Amino acid sequence: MSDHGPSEATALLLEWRDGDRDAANRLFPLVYRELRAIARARLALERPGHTLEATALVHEAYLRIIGQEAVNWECRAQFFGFAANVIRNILVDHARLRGRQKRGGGQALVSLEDVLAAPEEHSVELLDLHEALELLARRDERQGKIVEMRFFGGLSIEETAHVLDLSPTTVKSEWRMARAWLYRQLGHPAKEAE
Amino acid sequence: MRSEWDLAKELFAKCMDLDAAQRRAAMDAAPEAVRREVESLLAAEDSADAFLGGTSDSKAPATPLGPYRLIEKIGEGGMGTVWEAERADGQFEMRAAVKIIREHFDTDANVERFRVERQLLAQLAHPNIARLLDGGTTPGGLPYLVMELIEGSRIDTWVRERCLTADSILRLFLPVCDAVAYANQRSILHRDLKPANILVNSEGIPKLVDFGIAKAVGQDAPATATMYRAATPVYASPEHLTGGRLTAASDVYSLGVTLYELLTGAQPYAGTSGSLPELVRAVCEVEPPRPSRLAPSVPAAIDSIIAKAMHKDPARRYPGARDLAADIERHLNAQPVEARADGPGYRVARFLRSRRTAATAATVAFALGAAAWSAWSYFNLRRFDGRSVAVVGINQHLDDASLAWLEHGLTETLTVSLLQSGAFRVLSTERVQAAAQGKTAREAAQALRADLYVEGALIKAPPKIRLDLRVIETAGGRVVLARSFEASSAEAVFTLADQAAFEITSRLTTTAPVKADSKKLLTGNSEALRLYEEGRIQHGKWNLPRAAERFRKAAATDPEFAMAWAGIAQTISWWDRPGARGAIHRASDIAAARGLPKLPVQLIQGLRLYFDARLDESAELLRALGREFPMETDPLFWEGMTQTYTFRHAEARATFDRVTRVDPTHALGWLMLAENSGLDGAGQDARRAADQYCRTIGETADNCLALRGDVHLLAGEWDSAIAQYRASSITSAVMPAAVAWVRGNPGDTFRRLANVSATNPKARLVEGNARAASGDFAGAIAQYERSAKLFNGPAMGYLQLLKAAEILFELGKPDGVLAMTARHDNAWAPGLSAIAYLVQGDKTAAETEFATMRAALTPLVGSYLAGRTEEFHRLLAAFYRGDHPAVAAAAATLPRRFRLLAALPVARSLLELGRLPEAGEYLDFSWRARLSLGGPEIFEEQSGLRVILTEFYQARLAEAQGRKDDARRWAAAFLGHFPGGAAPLAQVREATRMMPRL
Repeated sequence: MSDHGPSEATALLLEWRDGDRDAANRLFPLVYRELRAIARARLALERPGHTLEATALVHEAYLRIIGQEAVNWECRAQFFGFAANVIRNILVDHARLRGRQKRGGGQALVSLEDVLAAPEEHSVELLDLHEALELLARRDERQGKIVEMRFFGGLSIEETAHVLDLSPTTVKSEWRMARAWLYRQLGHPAKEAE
Repeated sequence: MRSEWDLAKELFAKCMDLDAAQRRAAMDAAPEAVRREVESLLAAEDSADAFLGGTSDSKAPATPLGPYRLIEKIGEGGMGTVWEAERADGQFEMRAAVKIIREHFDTDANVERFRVERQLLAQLAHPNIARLLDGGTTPGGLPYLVMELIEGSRIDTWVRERCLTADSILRLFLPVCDAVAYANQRSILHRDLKPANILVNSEGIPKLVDFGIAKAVGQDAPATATMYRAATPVYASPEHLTGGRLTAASDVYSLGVTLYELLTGAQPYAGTSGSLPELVRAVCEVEPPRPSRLAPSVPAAIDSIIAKAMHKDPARRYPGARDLAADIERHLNAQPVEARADGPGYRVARFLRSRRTAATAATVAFALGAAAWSAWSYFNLRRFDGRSVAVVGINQHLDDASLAWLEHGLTETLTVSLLQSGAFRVLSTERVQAAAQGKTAREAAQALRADLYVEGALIKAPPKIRLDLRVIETAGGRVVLARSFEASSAEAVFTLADQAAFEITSRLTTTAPVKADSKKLLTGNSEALRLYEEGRIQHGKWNLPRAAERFRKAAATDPEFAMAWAGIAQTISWWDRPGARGAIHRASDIAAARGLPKLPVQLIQGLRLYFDARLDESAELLRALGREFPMETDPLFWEGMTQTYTFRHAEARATFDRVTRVDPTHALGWLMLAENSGLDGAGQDARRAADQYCRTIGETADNCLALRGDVHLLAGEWDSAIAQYRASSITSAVMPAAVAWVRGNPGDTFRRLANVSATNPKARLVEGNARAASGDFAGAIAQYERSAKLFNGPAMGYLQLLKAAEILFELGKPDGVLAMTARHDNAWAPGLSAIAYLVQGDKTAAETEFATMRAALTPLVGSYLAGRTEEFHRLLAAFYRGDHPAVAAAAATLPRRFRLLAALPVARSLLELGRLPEAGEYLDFSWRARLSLGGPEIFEEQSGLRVILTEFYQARLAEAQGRKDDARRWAAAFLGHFPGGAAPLAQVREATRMMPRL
């Protein structure tokens, strides 16, 4: 009983899924605006006791933009995959604004929640990750996508597999390898072999 | 030719889950460069730990931590993740909980401090403290702790699920205090006491977890920049938040907050807007509401105990947890507690000191940065306090017929949860349901004039159910909130609604969000809720017997389901008022004990007064409620019912007119508008309202046909009235016969009644009326008595016995009344005997009878109605004794309930006193009411001998006023009832004498 027909956003999402890159370009500002507004509001207004979850953020954006006429989880996964890219862009823009005068201690980024909770503290790690991810994507576009969806979009292995039309087993091994590659690329030391 | 990268990918996938030896074997055949790349990546993965969230969704790392192998992730919090683990070294079988802290230790000094702390903690051995078994750091440098595994639930969940009483909660809390005291004695503070850190195991024993962990991992720093990390500052003491020194009294404070929440279900500073500086300020300065204000069952002594435990000044708290426990024990043993409220001198001193904490709060605000504040104003959505909300568009897409009821169930639970928050004006589900027919959610919200509406979709998210929810501003259609919630089963209907209400309230208003508990408010039983919802649907379709049956089943499934009892009362009140009365009493007792939101509680209270016949009080309460909830029809509707039954038909018309304006689909509103318009002498309006009523429920519905019969009856269109009554199964048996009698054709009445069962009490009543009106008084009395017996209930049959007694009094036979009342075991009967004794001059016997009636009636109909009945009977006694001034005086203060019943005797006394215009008003009232559309009940009150006599006294009045034509017409009509002229009635003889004069 939604008062909105199939929205422009839904149509764009479907066109993007069907391979229309221009649809993505038109969808991006919609999603970007909404996600940024939500993230900013959340950061400022979060009540004590709430934890800031990246997936909740995307859920909220999804409901605002796509609404409820598209209720199947495939559509949702599709959107999440897209939102992952948008979130990455938002965070990177934010970190660039902050500049990179503070050289971090080379900490490994653990969760998007950390970044969202204290974006300033993690701007360096985030930019490093972003650049490494670009490198990875140039070498292996699929692995780049998988990391983006898993880390920035909070997608599960199954959801990622669905969006990219791969088997979960493939996604899992690709994810593990990509993660290891990035970890090494970011200069984190491997521990001594026993 | 495949690239090296592709080969590496293939090899990595092959090797990643193998052990070292197997890996070496698998890599043997690979080219050197590929092999080295994969070895390097595998080594990186082994070190990467939680990098980017770890390797899989919730699967444990393959590498064991010391002797522990992680099995499954069982929790995730601000500090890190908790895993179920087992000893992997095979030494002995043991399972444990492993907590991996999300905090890197970069210096050896930190690692060393951690080691010392946890050794200290490992010495804690107490039955209510989860043992710390071991600890270390992961290869990636994350500290971890191994603890006793507690299989149970959080104490707040445990308490809520069992609906524990305040005393049971206090008893459960005592060992918690004891455990804290034990550790404090060893100079170990918990530093992060909160419900999440108190688990109750399957045996009901509370166990504290995470003792001293905050310090061990260096997370107990004061609340400034790292505040985001401190998961729950709500439980932290003022000295903790402002960076002061922590002592045992700090743990006492957190225990106080925890107890506060366990007893009330709410956090003490939930009222603050939610920004951190404001919370700090609240913790340091604001007195939280007394627990008993939020949960009335909390005794005053506990208010004092919690106030002392949560005192802003550590020196004024209990010095230790054991002292807190001792005071709780004193309360449980009904001894006076030590805690006392602060004196005025202390409050002044604290006020002076508060300036200092204000400065601290400002510092914290600064630490958060200006960006946060600008975002606040940019996106401030907390401005919907007091606005109207309709939960209108919840749809389910579950493809499961057995879950179809969830749509209504969730609407109901969400509505009640939102109501409980008190933050919005929430439209009742009845209103919304009626308005939503055939409309989109937005259209419905516009029709309801709701400021906001909530729409949602229930979706499969196997194995869970997800609720996608949007709150939308009706004007403009802007989405102001969108959230998803997940729950694991059909029971989800409760938790989903409570979570959603909490979110909606906390995000959109400045009202302190109450943790609503729809399980407690409605029912914890989803089957009962399903039955109730089906009842509501049937009620909406005006299928009352079916609705009553569903409500009854719901109440049988969960006898503590107040709304189900209220549903029974509202439905069966149309045919079983004593039963309705019992049900509403049940509902109101439960509602009072459970702390339901204001609207349902007050509505139930209003209905209780209504069914107790305390109509004036009921009307007053409902009117106030209606003013507070102007969009609701229930308070208005029942206020209109009180007006109807106190014969204030003009007021009732106005009220029902408002009901139908607020909700044009309110069938009962149209029905009552029609009835009251008819009673108020506005036939055209009655007809219009009846048309609307029939449009709402369908032209062929029994109730429509019956009402149309009433409308024709009112207009004197006898044949049409009879035709309509015959077509409706509700009225087909008796009403055509009654019309025949009203029409002045007793013979037709008897013929029609011949087809009706001899044991139909209504038919016997109508026949009694017809016989009385045709001069067969002995036959009339026999029929009335038979009808009274057939109604078969101590509080039933009053009207029949009263009518029989009136005939006997009219004939000058008070003895006959006494003989009749002796035949009936009826609560009202002694009151009729009392009249007879008063007529005979035996005051003592009369008072004894009145006392008997009061004693019998009060438990059945309440003291109000019993008292008013006695007054009415004293008026009748005065009348039959010929004491007309006494009757006129009593008439001035006559309760409305008896105005119609007393109309004829009062008119006659006024005639005797020569107060003709007043007498005329009472006679007109008595005459009009013979066709009353107030349903069969009122119709019957004024039928029989009363109507006939009204004609005679109309003739007397007309003659006295010199209206000879009118007088002749009335007298002729009166005499027309007695074709033989042989009735043993003084008025017949008098009318016969009167005719030649006219």
